[in-house]
Amino acid sequence: MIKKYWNIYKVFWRTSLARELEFRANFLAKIGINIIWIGFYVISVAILFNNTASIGTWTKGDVYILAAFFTFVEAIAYTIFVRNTQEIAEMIRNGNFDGILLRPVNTQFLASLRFVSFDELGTLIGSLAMFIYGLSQSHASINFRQILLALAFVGIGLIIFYCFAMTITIMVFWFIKLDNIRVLMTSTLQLVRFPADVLPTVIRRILVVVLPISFISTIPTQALLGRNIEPWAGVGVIISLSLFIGVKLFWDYALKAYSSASS
Amino acid sequence: MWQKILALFSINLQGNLIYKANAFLWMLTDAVPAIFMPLVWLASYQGRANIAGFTPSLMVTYYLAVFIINNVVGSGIFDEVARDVREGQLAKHLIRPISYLSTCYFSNISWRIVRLFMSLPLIVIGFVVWHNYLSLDNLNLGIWFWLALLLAHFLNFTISYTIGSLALILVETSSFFSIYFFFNFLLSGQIAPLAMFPSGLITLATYMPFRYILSFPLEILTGQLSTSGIISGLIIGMIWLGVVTLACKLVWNKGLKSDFAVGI
Amino acid sequence: MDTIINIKNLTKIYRTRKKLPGIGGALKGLFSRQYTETKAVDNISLTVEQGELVGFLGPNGAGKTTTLKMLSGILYPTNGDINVLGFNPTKRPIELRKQFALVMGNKQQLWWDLPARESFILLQALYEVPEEKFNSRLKEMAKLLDVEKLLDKQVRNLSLGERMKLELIAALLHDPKVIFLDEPTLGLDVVAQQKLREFIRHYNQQYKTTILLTSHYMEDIKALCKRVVIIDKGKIVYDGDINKLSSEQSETKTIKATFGQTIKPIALKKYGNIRSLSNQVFEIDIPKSKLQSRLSRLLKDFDVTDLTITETDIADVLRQLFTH
Repeated sequence: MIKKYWNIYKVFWRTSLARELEFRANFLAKIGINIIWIGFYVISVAILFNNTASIGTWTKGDVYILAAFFTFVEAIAYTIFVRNTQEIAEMIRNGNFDGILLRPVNTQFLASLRFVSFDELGTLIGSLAMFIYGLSQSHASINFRQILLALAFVGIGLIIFYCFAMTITIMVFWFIKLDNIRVLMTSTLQLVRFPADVLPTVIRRILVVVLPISFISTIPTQALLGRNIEPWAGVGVIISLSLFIGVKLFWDYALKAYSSASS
Repeated sequence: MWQKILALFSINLQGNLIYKANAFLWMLTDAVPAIFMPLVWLASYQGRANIAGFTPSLMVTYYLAVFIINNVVGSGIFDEVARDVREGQLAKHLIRPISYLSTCYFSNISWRIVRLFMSLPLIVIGFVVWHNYLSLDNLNLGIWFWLALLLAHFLNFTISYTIGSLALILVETSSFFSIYFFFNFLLSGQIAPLAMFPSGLITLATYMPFRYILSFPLEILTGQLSTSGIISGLIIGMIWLGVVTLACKLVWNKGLKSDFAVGI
Repeated sequence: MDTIINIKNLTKIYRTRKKLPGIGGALKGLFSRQYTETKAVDNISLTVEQGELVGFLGPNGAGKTTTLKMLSGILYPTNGDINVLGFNPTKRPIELRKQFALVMGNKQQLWWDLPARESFILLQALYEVPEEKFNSRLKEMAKLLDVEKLLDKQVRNLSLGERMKLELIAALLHDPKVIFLDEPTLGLDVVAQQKLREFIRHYNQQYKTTILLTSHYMEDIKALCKRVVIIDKGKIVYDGDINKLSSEQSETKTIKATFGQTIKPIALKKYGNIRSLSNQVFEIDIPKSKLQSRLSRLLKDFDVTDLTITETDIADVLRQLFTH
């Protein structure tokens, strides 16, 4: 069965790529705009650090690395599933969701992964550049083990991001008119763009265990910089798995509600 | 005439009530920097009394003021205008006895009022959260401030309206919007008081229209400008208002001649 | 022959929120909610055997689409049992999903910005259709529907008729055992409608696939189905041979009378419903119970040179059925 789903996923990539190539001109413009936005962020941070040497315990380089992780994970999320979650809402509104229900494939898999978006290519490149710049500005020592740990946390962060995006999308089954509910997601995510030191301790804890979006950026950065974050790996795995199962159950429940009510 | 205005108002208000939750969500997006940026700055003071002339108290006040003023001054009309043009809806507006500009302006105003009311609970929360830092005595709420605020309101609306109208002559507007937002965020004082910028950028900002949308009234409010500074600022702002209005007229003249406008 | 579809006592009731007008209403709506209940499908039962081509006929809102959706598992019934190919569609088993197809006339399942072929390849992967079978079926159906040259054109550049043909192919690629067609000819021009009907008929005859077709166009049903199920207000009004519909259900018989001179329609009104084919030839619908008396009076009062008595046209029968 894994083979079946792997094959299907490969076809998703193929179809999405074909679609992207239909709009070549737009494609380049989007990459350009993405890089400009990264530049905007770099400038903002520079302005901030024009007036201070550090924010809490985070230096300029650290903040750039943090921003790079955030942007990178966000870009991958958008590439793989975020756009699909937005389209689920669209489809429910215009009645095209039924087509998804008919296919002999797991509905959640199909609905959340069917499109691969190439819009964020510029962002991926930009965030890598910001990462390298941050590394040069920071004076931390990086070793291979830290990199691996950071990547592991990035994986956990992506799963949590997926659960977050899906939870918000599933709410559309009941609140159909809420077409900018994803704004809720983007605003909340801003909280982990910045060094956690600026937040009160209570909020910091909440962002690790209750709404664990710290795994998207803060924790991977701390892992990379060798700040004794390894104990959290176990917690991260448990949290991400439970959230994933929770989302699946929520999704199944929403489908049942949809099928009872839709006309 | 008043009946027409009331009717427009009423319809806008009804539409707005239905999207009550949508509205609140947009508001939350704006509220995030109002809580967050002060936090970031406060962590940067590290014992210093002020940064570039801003005490912690002034800094917090600044961001709260940004949130409140955004509701009054802001304008999202560019989106509606561009959509009307793209979807060929202009024709139905152009034949009505009220000009399209007025329709847009009233839509904008009614939306501002709704936003102001909806943001009240958030403003109260902001006051409560930051009450330690807020001090309202140093604020300059004299006539100059209100003049600058009025200027900001009209300038922002006009720029927004003109940019939206670019849909009449450009095929794709979203890249343009992105670029506009980019400069707006940077040079209008949304992310940080302009005083924080390196001096070269500050000089640039003085001659760009973005400052007069937000930062200028705020600079008056926080007592950063001398009277001569205020007056020269008002003059530059009014000049920009004139320039944008002219640009708007040009866009419409050219645009109405093309096919897009009439709804093809 | 196998029973492919078995429906018992199927009912579907909708609850919808009532919206009150004006600002006052909008405000009130924030605090209290009122609901209305609609019975879309009311206790229907029927069975369909393998290879049948059954037509569901009924006015808009009769419950045809709702029934098809319940058969597809997209909609849950309020009451009753459904069995399709031995499965309960409400549970949406993957085995069942592989074996049926649903085509809705007003909904699009192909990707808008891509050539149809790309959508087909995606469907092939989803339904796990072996390469050879996929290619041969695609080739055959494209040829039958005359769309071979359209396979690589962007779907959004095609006309409605061309798109419908491709939608049909998309639905049939995985060789489903049961096909649900919901208003497939909606919005199409006469030529396209005919082509689609021919294709459906040919497909049913060649592959003996069970097909359920809904429509509010009489011509679709007449052209394709031997058996028709007439649904009105959620209830089955007639389920049987389409040719016997008139003789069993009609309240009237239709006579076609040719007169020796020009007749004004007003003069014939008292005999029944009039349709003038020319100013000397008329069709009159006469209630069966009054047939003898009115006919003899007609022959007495007028100079009738030719007379035939036929079953009332199905369309008129339906009108009688639906206005009760």
